[in-house]
Amino acid sequence: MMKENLPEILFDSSYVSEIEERVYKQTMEQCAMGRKIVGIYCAFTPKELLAAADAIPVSLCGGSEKPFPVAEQYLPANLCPLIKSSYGHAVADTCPYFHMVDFLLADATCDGKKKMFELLQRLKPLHLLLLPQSPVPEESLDYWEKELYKVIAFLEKNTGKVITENNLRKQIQVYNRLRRTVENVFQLNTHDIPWVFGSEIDAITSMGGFECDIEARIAEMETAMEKIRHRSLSGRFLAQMQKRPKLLLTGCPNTNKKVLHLIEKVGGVVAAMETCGGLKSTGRLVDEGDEPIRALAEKYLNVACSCMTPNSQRIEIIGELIDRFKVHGVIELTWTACHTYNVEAFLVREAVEQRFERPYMQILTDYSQNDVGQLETRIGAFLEMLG
Amino acid sequence: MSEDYRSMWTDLGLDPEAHDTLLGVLGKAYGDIYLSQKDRPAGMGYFDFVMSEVHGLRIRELLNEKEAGRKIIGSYCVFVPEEIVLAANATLVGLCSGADFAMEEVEKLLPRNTCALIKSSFGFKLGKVCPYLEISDMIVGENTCDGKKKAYESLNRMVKNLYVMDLPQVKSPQGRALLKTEYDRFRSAAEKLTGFPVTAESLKESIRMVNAKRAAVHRLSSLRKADPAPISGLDALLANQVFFYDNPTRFTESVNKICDELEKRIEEKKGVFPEKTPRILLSGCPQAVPNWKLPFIVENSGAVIVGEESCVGERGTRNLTDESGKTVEEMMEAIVDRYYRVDCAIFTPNPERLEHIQEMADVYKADGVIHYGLQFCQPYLMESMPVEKAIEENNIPCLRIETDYGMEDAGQLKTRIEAFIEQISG
Repeated sequence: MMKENLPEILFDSSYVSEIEERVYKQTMEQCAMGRKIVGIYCAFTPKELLAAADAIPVSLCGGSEKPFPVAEQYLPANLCPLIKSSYGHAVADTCPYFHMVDFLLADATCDGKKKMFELLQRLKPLHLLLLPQSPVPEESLDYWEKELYKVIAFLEKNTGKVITENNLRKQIQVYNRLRRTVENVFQLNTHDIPWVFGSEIDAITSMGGFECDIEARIAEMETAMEKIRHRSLSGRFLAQMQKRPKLLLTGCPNTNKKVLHLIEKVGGVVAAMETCGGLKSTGRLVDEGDEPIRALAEKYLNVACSCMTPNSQRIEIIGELIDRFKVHGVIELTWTACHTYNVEAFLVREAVEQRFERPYMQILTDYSQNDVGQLETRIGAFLEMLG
Repeated sequence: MSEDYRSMWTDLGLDPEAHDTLLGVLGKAYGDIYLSQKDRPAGMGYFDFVMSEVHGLRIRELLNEKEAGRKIIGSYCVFVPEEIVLAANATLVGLCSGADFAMEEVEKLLPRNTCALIKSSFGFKLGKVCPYLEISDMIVGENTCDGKKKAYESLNRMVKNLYVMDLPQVKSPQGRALLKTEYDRFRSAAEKLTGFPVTAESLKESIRMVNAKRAAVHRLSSLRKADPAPISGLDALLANQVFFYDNPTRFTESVNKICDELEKRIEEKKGVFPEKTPRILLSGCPQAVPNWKLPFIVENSGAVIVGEESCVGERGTRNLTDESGKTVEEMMEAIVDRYYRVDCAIFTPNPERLEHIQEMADVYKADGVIHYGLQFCQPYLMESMPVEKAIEENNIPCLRIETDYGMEDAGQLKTRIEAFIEQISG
């Protein structure tokens, strides 16, 4: 479907499938050698610690509506689709990733996830990370650093490996390089005319499931960027891209690609994404000069998630991205029943419209296809207004 | 109410017309729901009076306190320790509200699918109808659920004096340490507001005063074990609601007076409902004034409510603060210990709540449990399914209700509740 609508598209779901297959095979081999797999649910989890314990992180946030009926036997129907999907897959054992996971690291972020983890820990060993609710007070950092020490103890016990400072420093460098690479992919869209579709960025920067070989993924991203640069030499391609309004997509994670794809199908370009999988997580690096655990604590406490109060950092990031990517408008994606992003949307709208002086639209939806027609009309009208 | 209240309300910045509307609705609901009950204890006359003067005489009293140099602190949660407030020469009032107001305005600031309690609090501010909110020198918000935590960011722009208290989410040594830090910080903030340092003496006295208030409520709860029930669930709920507004000492005396009367009733085997009336335990979200919808339906469908496992109920009032501390520090530790045990669904995991529900069902000889969930209240709705399962495994029927402040579903609720009562009386 996407190929028909987007001109000269190079990276789509088939590209991701190839990576997934390769990564899956690699992971199987490595597991046979004794590497452990750790399921995670959140951008707050420091993957560096997992990698330093020689474990393989895999994100388990669900993006499909298929497991809803089974999830709703245990959870209220009126809950965010991400939580229902993740839990439904887990309890029905329909997710190969969850199936292979040795244990889980879960962050107490929003109420929905926090309470869902109470049920999830009946299925797999689960360690809960207790996030402070505000990044502002000085005590929060100390508190969070202590939590990371508990994670280390949990990991060492469950992997049988010792996390050495050297190893940790090395992983911090690797993940920083990954962040810089993802930033560079997005950076291609800072020109007046965007070079790459948001859906392509999503494919290029996807981890493809198991994070068993970050270096290889970085190399693949570099190759992809070369192809994008090459495509941008085509005047015909740029002429087509020039017609498309540039957008910043912010809000809930793109676990389900419905809205991301719709925006570009209708005629926009998602030039930048302020989401957990996107620029929300990459903007700030882990300080390689600092004591590593303290540095990790500092980096991860400052993820601008709406579960934090106040979360003024997010507004600042949005403002900075609007300028850097010269976007024409901002679209906020809110998954149904995600209270924190939904309440915060009020403050985001106000800042975008009044302070940054850009048009703003909030899309409140779930994983179903029922409202696609209606969303197309709304997004179309919004893009038209941007001219 | 007399004209001089009217000028008092205007001086407080209330909208006279909107406020009249609210009082009209409140008065009518109170008449229909409360005054229509049969065989009420005579002592409830005090609470009838309190309710008739809840925006009148009580506000005048608070204004007098302010003139005499006391400060008023408003709160939205049972985690705000009244002991500290009183010891710092301030009075604590509850600000949670139980009626939809100015919803059109509210939904410009909050998502439609926010729980009724949060929306109502915004509505009372935007509609300018809450004298308690306007009279407060400090408004304490607390990081409990996602909805409240994020709503305070917006409330912060609507009021000048919001103080946000952080709370732990897990019961661990670290969680307790966080609560201690936050209570120390709150104590300093209260002292700064009033200019009165909290002393060992003032703290000891306030712990006694709040404990006495709780003990009176414990006594009242205990009398509800009797069959026939000597007091209706509606009236007992009202006492628990007034807990948040009234002068503490007077409240304690009034509740104890009712208890004296109830003891006599029990001796005489006199009740508000006949013996063997099906007994219901209500568990879940808080019911703030004038949210009397569910108990009204239950008690007009042939059952009696014998306990509330709720913030406005035993979750909020059970456990006393240890009085033996000698220094401020020792007593602060005791206060932290006491509040740390509040088993709100924001905690993960929260097994104490389930234990408490089962214990209450047992002690109050409940024939069934109704789990009361406010729509969109994720923490309690998430707990409701495991709670139902666990209780039913113990052979106590459980009905899960999810509702809001509107009356649209009243008919449907009544049908479901009647069917449930039929099931448990069989």
